[in-house]
Amino acid sequence: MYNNPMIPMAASAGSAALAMTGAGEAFWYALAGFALLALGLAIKRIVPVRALKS
Amino acid sequence: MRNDRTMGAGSDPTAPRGPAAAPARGTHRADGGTVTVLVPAHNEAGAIVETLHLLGQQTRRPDRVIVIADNCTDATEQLALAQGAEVIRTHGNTDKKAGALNFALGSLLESADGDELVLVQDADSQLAGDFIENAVRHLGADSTLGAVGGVFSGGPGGGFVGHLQRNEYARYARDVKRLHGRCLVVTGTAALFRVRTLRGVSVARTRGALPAGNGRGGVYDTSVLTEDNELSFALLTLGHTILSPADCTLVTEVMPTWHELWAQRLRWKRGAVENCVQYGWTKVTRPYWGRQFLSMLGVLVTLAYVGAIAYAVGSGAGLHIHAIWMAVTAVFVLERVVTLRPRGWKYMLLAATMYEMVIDLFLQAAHAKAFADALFNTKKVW
Repeated sequence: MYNNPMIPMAASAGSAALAMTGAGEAFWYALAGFALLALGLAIKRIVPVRALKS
Repeated sequence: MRNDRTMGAGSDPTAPRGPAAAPARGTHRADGGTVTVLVPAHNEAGAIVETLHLLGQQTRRPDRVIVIADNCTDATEQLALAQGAEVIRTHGNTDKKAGALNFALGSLLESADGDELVLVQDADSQLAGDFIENAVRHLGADSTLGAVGGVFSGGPGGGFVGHLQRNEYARYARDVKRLHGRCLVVTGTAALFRVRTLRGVSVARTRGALPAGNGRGGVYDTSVLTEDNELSFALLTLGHTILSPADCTLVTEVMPTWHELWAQRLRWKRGAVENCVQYGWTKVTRPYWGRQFLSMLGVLVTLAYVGAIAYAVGSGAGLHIHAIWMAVTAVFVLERVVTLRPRGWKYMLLAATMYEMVIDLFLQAAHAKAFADALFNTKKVW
């Protein structure tokens, strides 16, 4: 609720386009790293989880 | 704060009882101890009748329902009394919901047995019929539990912005369910506590083991923007656990306009950040700091990414589409679709269009403003 970081991740990583700004490679590596982190969290949310045995 | 107490019909055992107190269903003083419900209400005439009616319909009926009329200028008090609830009234309370709850808890905790239970619920939230029964069962089954909170869904109305919040809440509920009730915050919309747990919080505040709050041993910290988040920190710091079980559900109102949603999220986000600062870097707060860090990073990445795209398009440098990032994007789309399963296939299909980016970016902006406000200590208004 107050602490869910998933929304900003989805918002910032949800595009396949790379802008050709002439920015250094480090900039794009940083963005790519973040996108991959968000990707991991997205996959974690997609895969089914086991139900608790009651 | 000066508080006058006005007891309503419910305080008199001979007085006629309305629906909230009528033994229509369920058991009275059943297993699990006495349950007292506290409903802080500030001008809630539009919602209080339905809220109290549903309390009266619980499968495990509460033993007392106390509406805390906080600076009400509408018919909240009269409507609550007509529903058979007890009503106590604050005067001059400037500490909003937290102040109203401290006022009610002050006397309740003095007289109650440690094993009695207190359910705090918002006046604009409607509990599912078995909420109390399930919450009492969960609390009784685990002595380490400090609180059992609800899992909420969004109420009707609000047009497009309301629709987006209902989606958001559905996803949050799914997350909590998949974590088997493990949650970061015991929601202020509805939460059940033992009296002795709340007493422990009060004592810890006066002894300095927790932030002082109102300085008089009040359970709720009146100095913060998100008192439920702070109370969750307090409980965890004292060694309790917290839970939001999937079978404790409720419906809460959604913000009807973008403007109100902006104000709500500014308050939530800034409150969460300030609670972290308040408690410092501890074993309890580490995961919360981590989430705040990721959230802030997300804001910065969005700014950098959108800025770079705008620059590239504006300067004519152009965009390159890469297959690998197309695949990554497809996973994000899939995530949006799958996580909306609780709402049904129509909503899932719609989510594939990524139209919810509107609220994602809106919340990003609210987060950025909240971080800036917290950093520069801008005046708090809520």
